[in-house]
Amino acid sequence: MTERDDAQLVGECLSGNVNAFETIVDRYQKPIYNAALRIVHNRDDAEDITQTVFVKLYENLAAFNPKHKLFSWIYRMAINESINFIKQKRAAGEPPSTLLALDKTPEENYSDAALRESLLGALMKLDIDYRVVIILRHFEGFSYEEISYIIEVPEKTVKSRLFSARQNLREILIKEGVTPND
Amino acid sequence: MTEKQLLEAIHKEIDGELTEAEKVRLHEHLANDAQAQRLHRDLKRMSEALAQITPETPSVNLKKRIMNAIPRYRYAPQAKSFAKLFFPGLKFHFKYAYIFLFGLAIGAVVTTVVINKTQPLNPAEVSGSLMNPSEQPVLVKQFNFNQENLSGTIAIKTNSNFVFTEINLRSSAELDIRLEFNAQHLDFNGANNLQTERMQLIREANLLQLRGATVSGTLMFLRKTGTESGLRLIVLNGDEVAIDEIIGVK
Repeated sequence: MTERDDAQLVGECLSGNVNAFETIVDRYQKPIYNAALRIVHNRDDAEDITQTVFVKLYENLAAFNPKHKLFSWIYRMAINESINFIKQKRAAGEPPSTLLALDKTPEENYSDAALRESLLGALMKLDIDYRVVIILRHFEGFSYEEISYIIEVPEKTVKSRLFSARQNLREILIKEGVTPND
Repeated sequence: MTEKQLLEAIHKEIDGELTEAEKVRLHEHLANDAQAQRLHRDLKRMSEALAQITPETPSVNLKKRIMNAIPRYRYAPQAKSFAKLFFPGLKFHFKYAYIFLFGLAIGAVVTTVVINKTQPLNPAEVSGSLMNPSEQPVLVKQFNFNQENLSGTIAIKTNSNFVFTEINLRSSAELDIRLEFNAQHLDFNGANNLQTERMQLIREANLLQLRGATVSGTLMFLRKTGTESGLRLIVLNGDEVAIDEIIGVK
């Protein structure tokens, strides 16, 4: 059986087939959760954001433009939702989330795990706009054009933001005594 | 190569955006520039390390949470065209469509005037004697409460024609009971022995809502199709969610 494409699933949802939406959730809940997690750095908050994103997606399915990829559209919602969450938290005077204690997988050696921890920590110290482009480019592999659609800025801005983000990340790591070639 | 061009080339190489000729030019430059070499190596290593960060798996109940939270009856199933079924060659003519729509509009106005009920409904208006069903309903789900601030039961029963929701709840706070249903499959048909004291009944196309300190009585839904359907039952006891569950009715 061929896998139904996203536009077909959206069509089925709009015809009242809730199971089609379940397939969309199955397909995208993990990357959306991870994008939110990398931005807000807290698992419970990331799950809440993921839930909100999918509810909003369902409510707005009729506005889906098949010219764009569904995945990019959901991502746009997830990034906006996560940024709003951070802003609200900041406005309420709450401290940023503490770093996640990530478990080391058995295949990893110490330096890989340490670098990963340092990178995730450094990522949280980046300005939110820089953090978002790093996540979209390096974790999700989106092209400049797709990132431009998701964060709603011109492609040129995406490039310059990404270049600055990488250099800032490198500087944070060096300041903390972790050079990427450690 | 200027510093700006060099930086751009390094980043573009990381993103796989350099042409072969540009790559050769970059590496020629790097061979004679130790500082640029370090930057190039650091950014490449960093980029590789970022790519190796494995995604985490969300908790197993996230999907269930999402599916429970969506307004699942927002999009009604599309009606099948029976006319097309019997007359596949049937063509659409606008002039007949206008006449048909005009007739439909008049019909809708007349129907609204005749059967429109003011909302919220007075429970006394919908209370009446429950038609004795020929087939005994079977219990689908029962919720029991025996708490200080909430006591009683809610039972969902069904037979091939109806779905019955028997409510007998008493709360020290304010109860807010909502039944969401698919109007394509179920139709609120009436209520029996509803307690009217301090209670309010609100009816919408796919929602029935009861509020009050004491809620008791039976709500009856007509099954319009033989297919499986579902009721979402939400009970709020003050600010607390006592039930939020989707009950499948076969």
